[in-house]
Amino acid sequence: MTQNYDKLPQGSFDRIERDTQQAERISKPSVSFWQDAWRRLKKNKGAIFSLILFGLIVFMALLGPVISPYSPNSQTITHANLPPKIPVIENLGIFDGVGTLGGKEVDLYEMKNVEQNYWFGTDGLGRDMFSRVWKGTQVSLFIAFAAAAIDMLIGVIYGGISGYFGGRVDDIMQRIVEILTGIPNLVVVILFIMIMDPGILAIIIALTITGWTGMSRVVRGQVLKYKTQEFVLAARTLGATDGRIIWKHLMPNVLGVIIINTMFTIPGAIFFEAFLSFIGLGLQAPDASLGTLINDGYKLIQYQPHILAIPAFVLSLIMIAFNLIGDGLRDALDPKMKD
Amino acid sequence: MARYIGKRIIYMVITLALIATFTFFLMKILPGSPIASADKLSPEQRAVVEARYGLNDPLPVQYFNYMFGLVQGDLGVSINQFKGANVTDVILSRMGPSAQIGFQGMVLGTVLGILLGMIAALRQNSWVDYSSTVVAIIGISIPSFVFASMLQYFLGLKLGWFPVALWKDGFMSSVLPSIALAMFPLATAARFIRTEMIEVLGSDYITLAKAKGASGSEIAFKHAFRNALIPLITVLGPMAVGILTGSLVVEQIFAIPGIGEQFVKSIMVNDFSIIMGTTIFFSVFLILVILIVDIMYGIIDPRIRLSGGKS
Repeated sequence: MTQNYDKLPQGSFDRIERDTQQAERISKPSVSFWQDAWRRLKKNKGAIFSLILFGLIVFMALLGPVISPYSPNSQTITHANLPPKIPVIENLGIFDGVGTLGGKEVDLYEMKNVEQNYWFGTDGLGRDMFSRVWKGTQVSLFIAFAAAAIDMLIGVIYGGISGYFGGRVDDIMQRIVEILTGIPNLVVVILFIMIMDPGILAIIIALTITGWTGMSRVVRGQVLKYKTQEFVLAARTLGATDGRIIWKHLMPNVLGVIIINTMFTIPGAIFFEAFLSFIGLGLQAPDASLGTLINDGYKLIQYQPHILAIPAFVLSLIMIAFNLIGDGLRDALDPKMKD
Repeated sequence: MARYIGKRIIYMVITLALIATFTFFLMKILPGSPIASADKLSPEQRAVVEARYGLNDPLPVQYFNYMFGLVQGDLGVSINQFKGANVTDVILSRMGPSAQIGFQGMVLGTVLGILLGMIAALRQNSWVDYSSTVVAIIGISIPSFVFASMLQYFLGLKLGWFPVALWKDGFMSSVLPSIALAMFPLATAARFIRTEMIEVLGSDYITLAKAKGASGSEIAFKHAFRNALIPLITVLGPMAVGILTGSLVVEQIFAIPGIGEQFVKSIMVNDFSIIMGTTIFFSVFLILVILIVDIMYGIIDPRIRLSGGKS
C-alpha cells in the first residue's frame, strides 16, 4: 500500500492536540450494577414474558374474586358440576358448557336451566370455580411470599452473623446448620404440620422452620468472600461499626445472591403448599388454595376434569414463570456472565 | 478421606438421633389417641390396651425403650392399623413397589435426561436445544402430582393404554408412575449435562483433541461426555429427594401399595408408630444417599478434595 496523503483534499482532517487533561475523562455514562442487570434481564425474552405473565396472574388473583358475581364459598347445589362456559369464546366450540352426561354430549347449562355463565365452571357443590381459583391463587401466593420473606430474613441474619464474625461463632453456628440441613425437608414439614392447627400460618411456619438454612449458607459464603476485601478494611479503619459495615458495605454486594435465592424459594414454597394440600395436610375447607383445589378436582377427574385442570394449569404457569424469572435474574445478576 | 468419612458418619448419627428424638416427642404431644376408636372403649378396657403397648410408662422410659429398639432396627409396633404388627415388617413388606417405581423412574429420567442434555449441547441453539430447554423447564416446574394425574387421565382413562390405578405386580402398572417420577430427574439431568457439556466443549483439551484430528463423535463421547458426566453425581442427592417426595403423591394417585401410600394413610388415621417409623426410614434413606453421593464424588473425581487440605 502506498501512502498518498498529499492526494487527500485539503481540510478533510483536522489535527488535534493531545490533551493530558482529558486522559482520565470517562467518556461513557457510568452504569450502576442494577441498571446493568436490568439491561441484561431485558434481553432475556423468557424472563420478561414470565414477568408479564406473573403480573397478570397476580392481577387476576387480586381482581378475580372481586369481579366474579359469585363468592368463592357460596354453594348453589342446583348449579353443581357445570363445565366452563365463556360468552363469545363458546362459539369456537370450547368453553361452551357442553359436558358428558351418561355418555352423551349435552349442553349442561340448557339442561339444568342455568342462565348465568360460569367462566371456569362449578365444582361438586355448585361453587363458582372462577372466583375459587383466583382466591386460591391469592392464598398460595401469599403463603409462598410470606415463607420466602421469613426464610430470607432469618437466613440473611444468621448467615451474615456467622460469616462476618467467623471463628468460634461461625463454627458453632455452622455445626447447627449442618445438622439441620441433614434433616430432610419433607420430614420436617410433615411433622410440623401435624402438630399445629391446620391453616395458612401452620404451613408458613412448617415451610420456614428449616427452609432458611439454604439462604444462610449462600449469604455466609458471600460475606466470607467480601469481608476480607480492602473496602471493608478501609471502612473499619475509618471507624465504622460492625453493624454499619454489614448493612452498608457487605449487604449491597450480597443482595444479588439473596434475590436469586429468594426467586427459587418461592416456587419451592408454592410446590410444597400444593403438595401438602394434596396429601391432605393443607388448608381445611372451605378455605381454598391451588393445592386444595387440585386435590378436590382430582377426586372428580373422571367425570369433571375441568375442576382439576384449571387450578393445575394456573399452578403450573406460576411455577414455570418463577423458574424462568429466577433463571433470568441469575444470568443478569451474576457478574461472571458480564459481557 | 477416612477422616472425612468418619466425620460425616458422626454427623449422620447425631442428625438421626435428633430426628428420632424430635419425632418421638412430637408424636407424644399430638392431639388424638393412637388407639383406634378410643372413645368407644370403657376406661378399664382403655387402660388394658394402653398398658399392653407401654403407653402408661413414664415418658423417659418410653423414650429410652424406643431409642433402644431403634438401634436394633426395631421401629416399634403399629397400634391401630395393623393390630400389633411390627412397624419394620410393615415398611419392609411395602418396600418392593416403592423401590420398583423409584428405581425405574430414576433410571428412565437420568438416561433420557443425559441424552437430551447431550444432544442439546452438541447442537447448541438448534430446535433440539430449544425444545430440550422447554422440556427441562416444564419438568422442573410442573409438580409430579399434576403430571401424574395428567398421565392417568390421558393415557389411562382416555386412551386406555395402561391400567388407571391398579397394582398387579405387572410391569404395565408401573409404567405411568415411573414416567411421572422420571420427569424431575429428566429435567435436572438435561439442564445439568447441557451446561457441563458446553463448558467442557469450550476447554483447551477439546481444542487439542480437535487439532489432533479426533472425529466429532470421538470428541463428544470419549472426551466431553465423560468429563461432563462426573459432576452429575452431585445432583443425584436432590434427585433422590425429588423421587421420594414425588412417590408420596404418585403412589397415592396410582394406588400403589408402597411406603408412601402407607405413610399418607397413617397420617390420616393417627397411626403414630408407622408415621415415626416411616419418618426415620425416609431420613436414613436420604441421609445415606447424600453421604454416598459425596463420598463417591470424592473418589471418582480426584480434583475434589473433601477434607480441606489434610488428606
